[in-house]
Parts: sequence; structure tokens; C-alpha cells
Amino acid sequence: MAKIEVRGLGKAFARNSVLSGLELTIEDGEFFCLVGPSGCGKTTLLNLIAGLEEASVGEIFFDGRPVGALGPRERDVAMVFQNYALYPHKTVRENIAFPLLVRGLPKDEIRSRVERMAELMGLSQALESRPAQLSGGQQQRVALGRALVRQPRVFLMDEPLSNLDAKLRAQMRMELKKLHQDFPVTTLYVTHDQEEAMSLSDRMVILKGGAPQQVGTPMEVYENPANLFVGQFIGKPPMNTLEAVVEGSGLRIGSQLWPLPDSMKAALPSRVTVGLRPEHILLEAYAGEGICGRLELIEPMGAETWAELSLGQERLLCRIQGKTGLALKSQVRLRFEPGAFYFFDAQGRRISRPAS
Amino acid sequence: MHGPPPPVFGMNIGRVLGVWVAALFALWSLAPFLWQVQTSLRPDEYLARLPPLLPPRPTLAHYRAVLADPTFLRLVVNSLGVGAATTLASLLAGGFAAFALAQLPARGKGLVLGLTLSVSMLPAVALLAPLFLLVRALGLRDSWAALVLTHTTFTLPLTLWTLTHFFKEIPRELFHAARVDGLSAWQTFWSIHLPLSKGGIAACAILNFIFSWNEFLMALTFTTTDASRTVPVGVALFQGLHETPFGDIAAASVLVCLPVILLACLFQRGIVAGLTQGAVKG
Repeated sequence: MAKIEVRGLGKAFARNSVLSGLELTIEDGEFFCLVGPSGCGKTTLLNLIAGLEEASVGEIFFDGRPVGALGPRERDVAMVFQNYALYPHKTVRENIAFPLLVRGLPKDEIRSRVERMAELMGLSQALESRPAQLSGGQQQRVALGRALVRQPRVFLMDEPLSNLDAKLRAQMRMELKKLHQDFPVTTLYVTHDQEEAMSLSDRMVILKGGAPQQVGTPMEVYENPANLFVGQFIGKPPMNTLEAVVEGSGLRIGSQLWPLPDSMKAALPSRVTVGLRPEHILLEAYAGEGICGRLELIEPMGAETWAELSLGQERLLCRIQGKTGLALKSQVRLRFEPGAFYFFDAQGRRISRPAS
Repeated sequence: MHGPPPPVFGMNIGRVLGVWVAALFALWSLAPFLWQVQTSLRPDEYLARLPPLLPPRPTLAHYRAVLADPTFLRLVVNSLGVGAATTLASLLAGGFAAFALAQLPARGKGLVLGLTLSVSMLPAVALLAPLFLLVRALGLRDSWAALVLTHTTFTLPLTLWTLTHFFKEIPRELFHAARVDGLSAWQTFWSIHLPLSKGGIAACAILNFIFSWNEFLMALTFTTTDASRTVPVGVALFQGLHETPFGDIAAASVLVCLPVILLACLFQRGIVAGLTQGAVKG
């Protein structure tokens, strides 16, 4: 197990910079997610930490020691790949045993460790099969087993669940979390799915275009996004954004004036982007007062309902517990949970809420 | 009304025509070989006579004569040795180079592939004189080494291209997985890339061997005695003092063709699949 520090790390392919000046600290035993849209450099970062690619600048430390000059073998990392990367010409047993075999462990120990791992992964019946004979979920387990069997210092996972169907993905996600509780190895987990990152991480970093946007626990990132990108990336359905002009007693949004306490208004520039989480909006029938919208669409999800409102040009998505009890195409009044408003400036930076 | 579709005569005619064209083509290609076969079975007194078209009293005398001749056996040994060494050399050099081109970070990969391809387009005749000078300067005349070296230069481009294609089909993630599991790039080559490219490697091996086995021009130029002469050259030089032993030559030719035909028949499907199919399925 190891604490990982990334200092001033940069990577460029040809003239194309993928990462630059990256600073990260991942604590010993932490489950740390790298999350961001595709092409944000998260897989590159993982490959750099694994030693599969060389950094253009900067250094990576494991427990305070630089590992830049070491190959993947010396770094003692294990990795799970998006497409599992099982050896197609080897049986499940040979696949799981392979890293141990390479390291020259005694035969008896390899055998017992492989069989224990297979049991843990529910693969005991499949030990003599080849990867092509297994289902996607089983292949995933073999890949996990192969990575876990040698008790590495660092566990790297590159979108390990993205090739599974939704049901299996949710199930494997829980198993991964349990596994990490049983084997608290420092884990770096790459995903583009914010839900996965939220549910798995101790902490996470949101990456965009090779630059970290925010580092924090899932709740920190959700409750206190550092910028508009993070605000919109984290949370499902995503945060609504409205362009507003600060005016007199409130915010001018479309044709309506939204009242706002002076204490809140003081910190705002004349034009702001307002972020509103769908789950912070409450709807009731419109009775001629307050902020008004028109109910355009209702999507029942069972335990909750997603509703789309129109306010002039603007569209707002709301997430309501249970049923709405409101008629489609009717006028509704919007109310908000306390602290529902997030403000961002023209550059998308968060304007911090003044202490109230 | 929708009845059963009328028989499509056009298609049947096309098929029949196809079979006839294929048969004609096969006859055209096989005729010289068949002629050799019947010549090799003719008793000496019928060798220069036509009719009869087929030998009236087929004999194996020529085969017996050829197989009893220590020179012929020496030629076969030379051919086998040169062919095997060529195959091995070209697979090793081609394999390593292809691995580097397909999986390792390196500059100018396209240039290397392009150059090897363009080199392979030069006709052997054009290279013969310079190669001869080179072989003589290296003191390799009349040795297996001269043939192995020159044959390998001609088999290498195809080997390189085929194997590069095969190694590229092996997902990068697999290479990464092996590196993370503790293998060096060198070990990855032996324990992942080679076993996963068996088909392509076998196809290359057979094509290399057949090239070397059949090659005539260089074998004729660089050898002077039976110590290193290969079968095609040796058979062409079968000369009596006062007569040309056509029967023996024909018998030897047929014998020389046999291993090639056998290899082609046995591995025909493998060769075609090997050259066209990917290495990793599923």
C-alpha cells in the first residue's frame, strides 16, 4: 500500500498536451476516482502512474520516493482495464496465476492463492475455461482477481465497469466497494460516469482538458462545486443554469424578477449564471404570486418524478419526490430549498456565498 | 400472385462457366507439371517420342536412379538446410522488428515499413550483380551462409509486413496488462505476442520456406559446387557427358515439387486464414 503524490506532472503527445502541471495527493488506502468527460486525460494519468508511459515533466512519488525511473514491474501496481485485457490463450487459472508466476512464487503458493481468489470472485467452477467462454461479468471478475491476487501497493482501474450492462454494473460497483473495505489498497479509479465516482470514492478529482477542476469527497463536490463545470458534471439530472441580470431587489431571469436577499446580492457582479439543482426546486400550483413556470413534460421514475418547466426561453428540470400532482401544461409556482442558488461569474468560476 | 420464384438460369450458367474457367486455368497451370510427371515415368527409349502421349510401359527407373544418387541427396540436404535457416532468420529478424513497429514507441515507423516494401519491389535480377560482389567480398561464395543471407533479404519484407499487421491486432491493453503483471517488453513478445500470432507466424514460415526452396537465380549465382548447391540448381545442371538425362531430370523435378505441394495442400487454409484474419478473436 502506498501514498501517491503527483507533482507538476505533464504529458504531451507530439505537440498535443494532454496533462499539464498536475498536483494530486492520494492517501494510503484511499479509494480515489479520476472523473471527467472523455479526452480529459484521466487514462493518461493512470498510465503515467502505472509506469506504462513516461511523463514529459514532473514527478510521481510512492510513499515519498520518486518512481519516474521505475517500470511497471518495479512500481508493483496492478491494473484492471476497460476491455479486461485477459490473455485469450490462457485459462482463467493461468490468467490469475500469471502475475505470481512472473514473480517466481512457489507453485504451491500460487495454486492456493489462485484458488482462494477464484472462490472470492465466484470463479471456482470456471478455472479451466478460457476467457472467450465466459460472460462479460465473469471476465470482469477474472481481471479483478488477476489484479488483486498479488496484493499490489496500488490498484489502478480504467473504466472497469463500462462494458457491463446496467444491472451488472450496479452489482459489480457494490462488490468493488466491499472489496475495497476488505482489502484497503490505495485505489485509483478512472471513470466518466459521475454516479460511479460519487458512489465509490473516498475522494475524487474532476478533470477537464487535462486540468483538475476540483478535489474533494463526493459530498463536498456535490454541495460545494468550485465552478460551473463541476456543478453541471456532478449530479443527476445535471444542474440547471440560468443567465441572470442583477437588478433592484433581485435577479432578472427572462421576463420575471426573482427576489433575492440583499446579503446574497451584495457579492454578485451585474451579470451572473445561476445554478439550480433539480432536486432543490419545489413545485406547487400557481395562484398569481411568486415565480411562475409552465409544466411542459413529466417523466415518472417511480420513487420520484422528473418535470420540465419552461420560463419564457429558459428550460428548467425539476426532480420531485413521489408524484407531482400537477397538470401537464399548467402554470406552476417555483419554490426553492434554502441554499439552492449557486452563482457563477462569466468565466464559470463560483462566486462564494457570503456567510449569512 | 406470388408463386415460387422462377429458376434463375443466368446464375446456373454463370456457375457452370465458372467451373469450366477454373478447370481450364488449373489445366493450364498444371500442364507443365503433368508433362514432367509423365516424362519421369517414360522408359528411356520413349523419351523423345510422341505419340504415344502416355508412356506405354511406365517405369520408376528414373526415380530409383535419382534417389540412389548421393549428389541428389546432398542437394536436398542443402535445400532443407538453407530453407530452414532462411525461415528462422527471417522470422526472428522480422518478428522482433514487427514487434517494435507494432507495440513500442519509436519514430519513423511508417518510413521503415515503406522502405522495406519499396526494397522488396526491386527485381532480383537487378540486385544480383551487387549481391554477388558483396558475397565474394565477404568470402561467402559457395556456402549456405551466402544463400541464407540473400534469401532472407527477399523474404524479410513480407514477413515484416505480415507480422506487424498481426501484432497490431493484439490490443494495446493486453501489452499493458502484461507489463503491469511484471513482464518486460522482451518477455511480452515471447509469452503474449508469439502465442497469439501462431497462425500468421506459421503462414510466414511456410511462405519463406517455399521461397527459399524454389529460388533459382541466386542459388545458381552464388554456388559453384554440390557443397552448397540447392535442388533447383542441381537438377538443372544434371548433365551426362554425352547426353541430357531428361528422365532423371523429370523425376528429380517431381520429387522437388512434392514437399512444396504437400505443404501447400496441408496448410492452404491456414495460409489464407493466416494472411487475412486477425490474431485475437472475441
